[in-house]
Amino acid sequence: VAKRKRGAVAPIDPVRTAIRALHADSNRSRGLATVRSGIAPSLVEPFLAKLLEVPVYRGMVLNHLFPATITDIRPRLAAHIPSPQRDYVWNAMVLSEHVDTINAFVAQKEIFEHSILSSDFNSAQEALDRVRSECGLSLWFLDSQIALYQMRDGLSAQKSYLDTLVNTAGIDPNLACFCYWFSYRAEPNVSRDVIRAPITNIETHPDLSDAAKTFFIYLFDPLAIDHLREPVWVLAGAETTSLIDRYLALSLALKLETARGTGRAAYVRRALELLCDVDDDALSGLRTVYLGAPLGAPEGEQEAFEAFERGEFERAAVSSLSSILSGSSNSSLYELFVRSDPSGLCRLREQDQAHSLRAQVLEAVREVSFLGPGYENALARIERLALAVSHNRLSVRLHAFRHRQASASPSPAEAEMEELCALTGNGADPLDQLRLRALRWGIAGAEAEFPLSAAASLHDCIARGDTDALASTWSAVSAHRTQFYEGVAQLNAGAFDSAIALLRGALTGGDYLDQVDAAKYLFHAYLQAGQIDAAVKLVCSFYYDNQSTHAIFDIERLIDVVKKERSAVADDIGWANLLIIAARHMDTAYEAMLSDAYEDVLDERGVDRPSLMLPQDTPRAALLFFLRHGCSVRVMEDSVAFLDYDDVEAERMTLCTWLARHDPGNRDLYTAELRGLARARQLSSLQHQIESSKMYVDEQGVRSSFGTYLEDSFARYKALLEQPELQTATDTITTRIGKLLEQRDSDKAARLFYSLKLPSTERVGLVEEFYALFLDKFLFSPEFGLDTHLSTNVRHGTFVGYVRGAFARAHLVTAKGRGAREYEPNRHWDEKCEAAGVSCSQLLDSLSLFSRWIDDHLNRTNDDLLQVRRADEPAGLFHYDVDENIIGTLIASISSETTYDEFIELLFSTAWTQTEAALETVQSHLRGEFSDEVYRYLDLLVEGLPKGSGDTGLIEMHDAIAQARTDFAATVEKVCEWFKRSGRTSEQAFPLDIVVDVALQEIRSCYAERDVRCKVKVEVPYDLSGRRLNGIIEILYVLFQNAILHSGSFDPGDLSCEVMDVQGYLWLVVTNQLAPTVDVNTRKQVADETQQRYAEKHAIERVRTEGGSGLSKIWRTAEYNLRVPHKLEIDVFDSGLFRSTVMLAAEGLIA
Amino acid sequence: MIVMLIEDNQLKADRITGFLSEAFDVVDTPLYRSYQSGLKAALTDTPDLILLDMTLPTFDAEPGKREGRPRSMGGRELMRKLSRRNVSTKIIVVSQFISFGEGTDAITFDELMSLCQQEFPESFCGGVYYHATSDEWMTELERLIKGLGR
Repeated sequence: VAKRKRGAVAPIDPVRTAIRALHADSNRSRGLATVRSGIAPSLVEPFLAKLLEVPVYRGMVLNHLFPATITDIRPRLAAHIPSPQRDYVWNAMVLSEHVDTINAFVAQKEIFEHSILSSDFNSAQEALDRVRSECGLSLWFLDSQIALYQMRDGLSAQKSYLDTLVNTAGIDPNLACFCYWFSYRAEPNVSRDVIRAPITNIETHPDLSDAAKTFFIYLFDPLAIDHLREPVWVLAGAETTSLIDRYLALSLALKLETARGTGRAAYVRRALELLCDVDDDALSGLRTVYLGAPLGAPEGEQEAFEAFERGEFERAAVSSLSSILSGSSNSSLYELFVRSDPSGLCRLREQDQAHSLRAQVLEAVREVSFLGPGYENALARIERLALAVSHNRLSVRLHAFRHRQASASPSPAEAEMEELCALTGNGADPLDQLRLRALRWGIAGAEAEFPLSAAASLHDCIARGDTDALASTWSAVSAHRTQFYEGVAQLNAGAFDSAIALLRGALTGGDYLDQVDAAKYLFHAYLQAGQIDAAVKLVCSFYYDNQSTHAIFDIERLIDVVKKERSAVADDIGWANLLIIAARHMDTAYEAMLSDAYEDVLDERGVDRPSLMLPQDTPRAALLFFLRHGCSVRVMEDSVAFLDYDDVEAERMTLCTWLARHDPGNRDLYTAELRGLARARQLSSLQHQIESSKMYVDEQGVRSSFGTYLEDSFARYKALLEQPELQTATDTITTRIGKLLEQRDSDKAARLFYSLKLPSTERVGLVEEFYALFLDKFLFSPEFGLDTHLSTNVRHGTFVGYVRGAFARAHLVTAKGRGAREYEPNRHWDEKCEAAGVSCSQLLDSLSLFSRWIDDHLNRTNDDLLQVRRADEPAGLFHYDVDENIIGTLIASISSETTYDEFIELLFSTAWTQTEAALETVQSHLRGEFSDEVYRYLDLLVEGLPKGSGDTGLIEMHDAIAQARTDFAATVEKVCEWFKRSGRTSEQAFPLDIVVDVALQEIRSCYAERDVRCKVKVEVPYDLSGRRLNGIIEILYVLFQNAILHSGSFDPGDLSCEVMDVQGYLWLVVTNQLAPTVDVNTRKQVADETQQRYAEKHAIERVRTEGGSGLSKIWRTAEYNLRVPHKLEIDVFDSGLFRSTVMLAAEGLIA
Repeated sequence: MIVMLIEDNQLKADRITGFLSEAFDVVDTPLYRSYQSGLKAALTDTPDLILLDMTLPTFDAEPGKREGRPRSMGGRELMRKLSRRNVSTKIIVVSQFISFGEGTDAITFDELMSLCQQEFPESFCGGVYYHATSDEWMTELERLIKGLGR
């Protein structure tokens, strides 16, 4: 061995140094990662080349390329620090070792994508199978297979496949998670918006590295290109899965680098050179940009674009369709085809499988391009289709198309997307050529040659505003197209007046889409020229005809201009209408400006309500639009010109009536709105009627219940009046008996006196007897009395439920299961606390305690205080103290001239006077002691909140308590309205569907914490008599309540209510599903017993008590309130379906 | 001093009125319970000060009458309407909510007050967070009212 000369410095071989560094780590993989993270970019190639020469390193470098089984895929982030300067070349070198496999994959991928577009799922499966056998498994394969299952076999098969995957023994948890996401994304009803929410959570996750986040986003939302912060991070995950995933990730990263102009051209170019043998069209755009390779657009595709620009539409249609059918994924062709042949869908279907995916794409593209009525829906469909074919080149094209069509001012992200499309495409689209040329010139300088097609040259002239060149380059077929192109060129040249003149001319020719194109540019020309009024008019005039045209104009920019200089728009109605469009489609925040613009329009005309400005002659479209959309209840509610809400609604009804006459094309809409307004009024009036008729006594029933007894007694009383000497004698006798009885225990004597019911013979005694007897019936008649109505209308869950609703709406109270001792945990605040990262056990305890306080307080008030005071209800607030004054007044009011009817009226009047005093007592109690106690509980709840909760995300809790205070105060006021003497019953007839709605609103108010969903079906040929209204609502209320309370679950599920006429009987049918925990057989037995009890005697016994099923109240209501023959059926089916049917003879109910 | 109260919560209104009568020489505190009645009164009357709730119903709650839509930022809308009519009566917002609106439109009390300051510099004099179980709001309200004359 030759000795090294002392002092001589041997040249350092950096590659050897790097390999030594790799050896320095006992873990070679870790050593390799360390070297990769720090090696100079210029050494990446020689270093890797060296490694590939040595089998042991080669195996290490070429690891994770061909997973044979699911368990072989173990997705991880690469251990080295990702770097574009190193990783593009590194990966390209690794991939270049397996060019044949990549080419095989690319070939099968194209077949797969083409087969999917033509919905030839068998071919798609064959292609996938070949990929698996030739290239092994990959994330791409699994994602594609799941998507294919979904498209071919449906959700169940897709999930079954997922189930198989995730249950594979030894599957990597990351992979299982990825598969779950692929499956979720493939579900037919999962839209992009749905996907975005969880992905936003990933993006903000504190524990994930940026590279990991980027890789996840790349996998799960392939359309979120703008969320891929650093292109090379996409590779960080793909390196550990498979060759295929690595190739696809690298391909995307290189395109993103290029589209973003990140200045890493040298590395991208070198990577492309290393991949020179890869036969993939998807790289052709990159090769053109970096390597100057000619564009490889198929002749047919290019010809389609050329023919279109020449105005040879049939030829363009034939060429574009042929390309689409042969598998082109250039979505510009789809646009071109629908523009060349607006009815071309039939032509496609003749040559393609029915309902193929590409037919769906074409249909959606057509709807969007033509701004059809299904425009918004079609935009969503396109996004969904783009997601469904997310690995297809068509996907990013569709995504870009969707954004281009939906936004009049492209964002930087959208511009990046368009460049990505150009890089992914084949350059057939003339606009793609211009984009690629710009990118090429950015890399190689503007002197670099870049031949353009004739159509691209035309667009180049237009973009440069070179009108001279335009004329010499192209001779367009139609004068309209010439005018349009020249107009756009003039606009780009800054000659706005000329542009406006030309584009206004172009507005009148061509087909609708030509006009739309002209309008888009004319709008910009107006804006640039400062002709704001004209721009507003242009937007509005297009929108009046087609309400999808809002997307073609940058309305927000226009509004910003006007905001700065309001006087720029002289047409105040036009301005208001522009704001209507903005509020409808862009942001509801524009409603505030619209409200002011509405006032300006009216002020300008010296009126304060729009009906005063209605012209008698035929109105302009602008006025019709303003009246129709700008003078809505919502806008007019802001104005101080109206007395109350009814007044606003009346104004709207006046406008609708006028509009129906002057805008006959939309008459049906106005008529429907009028019906809706009338219905809302009826509903409101009905609700008020129900709420103000709770304190009710059936006077006719009470009157008839006395028989002749009271009449005979009254006759005796009158005899006493007419014979004073007789009165003196009887007075003396009665007084003596009374004194005798008083010698014993006075209370007992009084009780005996009454219990013996000695027939009174003196005047005072007789009147006391009359009134006591009358009051008993007035208050306690189970059929007609006040307490019965108090029980049915107030105590039977209504009061408690209604007041509790104020706290349930704020999620401050939870329920207590039947028979349970503890309240259910408050899940709402539990989740809020968890999200805010604060401990919540103390809070949940406080809420549980609060629920108990509130319920105890409400139940005490309901059970003890909202009662007629008597021996067994000593605390009842309905206190009827029959003292000397009352008796004296009665005596003074009865003369020998008084008739029996007048006498009865007098008794009613006296009883109502006492009732009204009692009602005032109740109101006073509710507003006073009752409310004070509730406020005290709320204060205690606030005091019990965790300290510092205002700083830790529980701000909402403070707001909820504040809201509950206000809500509770309003609720008490409403409840106080119940405690007023019932007014006269309305004679107005009501449709039964409104009656059901009122009952549902009642039940929802009382069970605010539950989600009461009900499907209503009303099929009766008549309306309900207003006099029977309360009764029907009471019955429906009890049926709904029964379904909710006895469903066996806190969530009663979906209720259904059917109202129908069956052979002269009105059937009210409420159905719901019992919870699985309910024993159906026991429930059947209970139902049978209940039906048996549905008989007069048993039912009437329970009328004045609360609890139970409430069916006795149905009986009473049907028997005494509605007074019609009635039946009840309760069915419990083996399936757990529970159905209650009340059948009422319809004759007495119909209006 | 006449202080107009635009407030739909009677209890809160009572406490504010009680505080005003104790702390200031207030001769009248007319109460309006909604955006509509408050706006109408503010356009026609000339109180020395308006104490304005932020969350209001559109119309007064009355038996048998509909209140229209609830307005989570009804106070701000009312101020905008007054500003349009060049009414520059001094206004202090008294709200018992810490946040307004929902979802992405949600805004905190402080943010909302800053917005009001920007939008209505002529009339808006500040905001007070009212709390039913604390008296801190009184101190803040007193400070703002005393600062009006400066």
